[in-house]
Amino acid sequence: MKDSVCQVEFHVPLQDGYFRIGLKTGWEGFVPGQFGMLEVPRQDGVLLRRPFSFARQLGATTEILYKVVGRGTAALSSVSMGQSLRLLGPLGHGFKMKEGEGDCVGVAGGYGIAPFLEQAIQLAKKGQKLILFYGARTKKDLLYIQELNDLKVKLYLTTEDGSEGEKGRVTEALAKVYKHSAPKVIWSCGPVGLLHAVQKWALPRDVSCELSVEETMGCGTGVCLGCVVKDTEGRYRRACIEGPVFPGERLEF
Amino acid sequence: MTVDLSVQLGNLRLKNPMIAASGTFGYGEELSDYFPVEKLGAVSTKGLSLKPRDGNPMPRIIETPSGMINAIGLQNVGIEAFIREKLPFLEKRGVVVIANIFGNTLDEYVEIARMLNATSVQAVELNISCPNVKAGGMEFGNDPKMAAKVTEAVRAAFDRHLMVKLSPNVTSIVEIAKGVEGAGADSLSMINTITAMVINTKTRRPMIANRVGGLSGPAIRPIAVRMVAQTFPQVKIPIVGIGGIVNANDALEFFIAGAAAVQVGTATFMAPDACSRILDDLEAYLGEQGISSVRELVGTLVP
Ligand SMILES: Cc1cc2nc3c(=O)[nH]c(=O)nc-3n(C[C@H](O)[C@H](O)[C@H](O)COP(=O)(O)OP(=O)(O)OC[C@H]3O[C@@H](n4cnc5c(N)ncnc54)[C@H](O)[C@@H]3O)c2cc1C
Ligand SMILES: Cc1cc2nc3c(=O)[nH]c(=O)nc-3n(C[C@H](O)[C@H](O)[C@H](O)COP(=O)(O)O)c2cc1C
Ligand code: FES
Repeated sequence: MKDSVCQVEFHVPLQDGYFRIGLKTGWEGFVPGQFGMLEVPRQDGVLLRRPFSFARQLGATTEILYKVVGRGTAALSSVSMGQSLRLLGPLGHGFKMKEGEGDCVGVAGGYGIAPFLEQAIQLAKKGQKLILFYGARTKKDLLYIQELNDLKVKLYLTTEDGSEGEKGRVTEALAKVYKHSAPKVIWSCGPVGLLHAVQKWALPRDVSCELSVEETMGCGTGVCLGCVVKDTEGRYRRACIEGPVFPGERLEF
Repeated sequence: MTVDLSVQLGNLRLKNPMIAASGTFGYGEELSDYFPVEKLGAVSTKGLSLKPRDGNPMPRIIETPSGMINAIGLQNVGIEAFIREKLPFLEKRGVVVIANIFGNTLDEYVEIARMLNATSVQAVELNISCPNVKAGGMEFGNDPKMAAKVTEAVRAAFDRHLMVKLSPNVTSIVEIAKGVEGAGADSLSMINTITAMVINTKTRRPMIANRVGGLSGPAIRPIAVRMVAQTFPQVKIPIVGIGGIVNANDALEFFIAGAAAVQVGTATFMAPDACSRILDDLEAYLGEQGISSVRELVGTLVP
């Protein structure tokens, strides 16, 4: 990982407060699930950088998908192409479980879709297929659908209001599809409720899962201790260093 | 022109006035990928206790306008693991180590200080903003007499430089400073974080699990500068200025107010090499201004 000044190569508004931003990192790539601490303009009293997962590597440019939810992301949305921002990354541990035999399954919630775009790209290169259960509040919160279809990802979509795909929760769709069989591995990224539900479904079925947690982060470098999650031994683990992707059986919700 | 950055804090000589603040620089090793940590004047470690501590539940931090509140709960590996596993790295790199310590009782403070006395650690920084369990949870740092008592006790147990870190959450920080000086402190570092709260207006709950936490960052700088300027004329021992320093100009304010050295904390979260960068900028500025030593600036506030 390193801290570098990156030029904004593109910055595209999507629907409903979502943006794609491309930063010229010069990286060769990253492990899906890894993230970066991105400087945002220090307006409105914003002080700290914000953590974002990386969505894909396009040549020398690294893409982030984000949603405006507060001061920091609002400040970020005002950045124009050609401007430069400091980015610290790639940080943390991404998804490392090998796909092996059987189905490779992803479960994403909301902007937790980000790492699955790169995951799908990397699997496609190996001739492997990603089966993705993707849930959001409404149709407007489903992102990268075109890209995922182009990559031949098998998509199961759910929305809470039924405006797209099946109405309900994404883990219900997972349980329905895998009623009589089980996938080999599950990777998941999304809100904590979703991760917990995935863990509860996977562990009793002996399905290994990897869960990417989202915690408040002050530094991204392991020194503030503001990002911890509890493991099954009751110890606090730093999500920025030991995560954000943790083996499912080690997390205590 | 060459600038002499070295400073003398009583019996402790530092090659420059830049110290990484406790709780924002881990045990020194974490950030060594970003710049050579031995470049700094010194590193103050994460607060160390007699036994390892798990710390508080989440959420532990929240950003506030130009600042942040933290209630980490002093999570640390404990003094034994520090000496065994963390200190060797800093020793090998030739870093001047300031061990930041805290206890729940006077005896705990003394025990930790005694253990550190048997190591190569050059200085101890006493965090006295801790509740004294035996005195019903009253903070050591809130009362001049208690602050003096813990300073005196640690003084007797540790032979080298003793820095006492003052809490701003008191009626008169000058009174505490005087009490601590009288009890044998070699220097004062000030300030620690300011007790603060943010409320989620929807849930009507505090945004931090611990309810209250400590405010740091640029938001507290004017308060910290005022406290240093107020304390400087009242004590003879050197002061280390802390609070919201994010650039060289911020550091200059503290020197002029009376600080002989500074600590940088929250800025390290904004950029892992902040201490190093601020030090470089400071050196460049002094050179441009024809100021040959940072010592020339200390306490030059116009009356
Ligand atoms: C490893 C990791 C990866 C991530 N990846 C992504 C990603 O790919 N895309 C993405 O969009 N996000 C991602 N996030 C989340 C992202 O970091 C946050 O959304 C962002 O930091 C929010 O910053 P902000 O300043 O805009 O919001 P903040 O101001 O920090 O607020 C966050 C939320 O809290 C609410 N809030 C704040 N203050 C109050 C208050 N006083 N009362 C009530 N509510 C309040 C806000 O309304 C908002 O909903 C990731 C986080 C982590 C840890
Ligand atoms: C996350 C965090 C953890 C801290 N932990 C400690 C600690 O263990 N011991 C201590 O004496 N001060 C601790 N501090 C206080 C800092 O050392 C410093 O006094 C304070 O943050 C003000 O400086 P700043 O504005 O440059 O951050 C901590 C501060 C932060 C933000
Ligand atoms: S974000 Fe600071 S320790 Fe993880």
